[in-house]
Amino acid sequence: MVENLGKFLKIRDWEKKLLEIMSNITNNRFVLFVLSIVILLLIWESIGRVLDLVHLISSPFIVGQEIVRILYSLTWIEHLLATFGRVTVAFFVSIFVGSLIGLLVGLTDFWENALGSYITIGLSLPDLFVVVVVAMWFGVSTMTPIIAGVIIGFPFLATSLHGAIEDIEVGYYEMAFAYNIDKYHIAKDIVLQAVLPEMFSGARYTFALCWKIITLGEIIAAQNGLGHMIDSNLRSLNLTGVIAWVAIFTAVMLIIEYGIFQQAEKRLFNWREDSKGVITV
Amino acid sequence: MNKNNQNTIKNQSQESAGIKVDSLTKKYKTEEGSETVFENLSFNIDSGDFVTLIGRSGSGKSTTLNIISQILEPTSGTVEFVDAEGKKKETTLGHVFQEPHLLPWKTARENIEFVHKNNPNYSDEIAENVLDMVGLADHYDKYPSKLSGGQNQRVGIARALSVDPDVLLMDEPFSSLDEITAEEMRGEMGRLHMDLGKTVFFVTHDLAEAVQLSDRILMLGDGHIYDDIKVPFDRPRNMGSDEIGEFNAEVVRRFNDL
Repeated sequence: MVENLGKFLKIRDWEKKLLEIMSNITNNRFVLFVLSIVILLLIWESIGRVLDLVHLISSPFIVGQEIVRILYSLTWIEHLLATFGRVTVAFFVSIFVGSLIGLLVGLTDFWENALGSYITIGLSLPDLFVVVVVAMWFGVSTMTPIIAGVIIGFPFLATSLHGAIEDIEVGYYEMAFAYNIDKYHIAKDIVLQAVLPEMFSGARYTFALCWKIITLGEIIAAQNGLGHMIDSNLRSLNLTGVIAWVAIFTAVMLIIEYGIFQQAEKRLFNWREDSKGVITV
Repeated sequence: MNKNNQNTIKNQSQESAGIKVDSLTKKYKTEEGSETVFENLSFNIDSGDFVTLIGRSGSGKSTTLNIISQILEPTSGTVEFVDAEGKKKETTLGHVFQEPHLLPWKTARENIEFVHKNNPNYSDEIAENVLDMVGLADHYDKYPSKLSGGQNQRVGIARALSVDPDVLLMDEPFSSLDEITAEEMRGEMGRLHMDLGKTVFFVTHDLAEAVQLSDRILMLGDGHIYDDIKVPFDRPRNMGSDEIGEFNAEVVRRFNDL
């Protein structure tokens, strides 16, 4: 396109090269994301310096120093592992419960009638309300954030699966019936395969949700974890510390999103014409 | 046709079966009682014939085909598959649908393999042979999303041929394709029929398509077959010829007779 534009407008070689670089940047989602972060940090740092509010608003440079200090102290490993352990348990329990309910509700009218309303209620419950009630029931414990994560996480997956099952093309069943395909292969090769993309994106969303809920749960009712560290910095009015821990939390989520989920999606669903990642954080 | 065609056709048996449709009635339950699609529908199709059932939307063409396909149960009446002597015969059916209903997560080869789940004698060679036959030799491992509409329908036809059917049942298979692709597919279908000699029961609402492909045209309307026309031309047919043009006009006139 740039080449054609070059011929048409008679632009010079270096201008053409610059246009090519710009075109590559604007078409690359990751590069655009990194670039926007850099611009945001520069604006933030500039405001701090120009208005002499570097410490009050914790400029990126100061936050960067704090992040380096935390990373060197190695305390982040203990807290990250604590949070990650809770997120993993909550995620897998949510996946199990959500998939089971989603499949039951999607495949049978009885379970749709019996459980459909619970999914609706689950989706409409405010996250903070669930975390507070669970914290009051179970106190400050490892289980509190996990239970809250499961309660908030599973309805999303159940809804995704329910919708995916209802959207399966009737023609697939007709074709399978016409060629006498048995129920096992219909379930394995049609139903499961058809719902897999929705299940995967539901799982991604549930994972991101579990991270957020577990961190919230840790702020309210835990003695370690990223959420607990955000809370303890907040209590001592250390804004730099809060932002530094939030930045570590966000970085971990992005690594999981780009490094694991998007790569897995590319491999699993390469048959999809529109197979590309979506940030669910 | 593909250069490998002559070899691959050897792997298809030349067997086919006739169809005897006797007093077929189909009624659907409605809130008011029941609605009759057709009543006492009877016709025979000889083994190896290409017969097209034509009718307006809602006339019951697809319902008839689905009953013959055993996808639907008739309210009353019978469908029998018979050999050349008129004796009842165990029959393998190949189905080509309006949309190919290919599983998008399976490649062309895997889509064909899917309908052989209960076939212990299945081998990759079967899929490759039929894909060669429909001109998709270079597309074995492509997903449907990477193939054009016409190519997907070819995979659908290859899938139907892969079971080595005695009867091929086709429900408006070219109606969702653009006219150029549909024309190409008609030519291909006519050649396949000449080479394989399978019985074909074809449903369409396109009169010219029926004239181009069929040995006989059955016209369905008002719940009964109101005309049965023999097409007296050899294949391949030149649809631009005056003779066929006049015949086509005659078919249109008789179609509008109802």
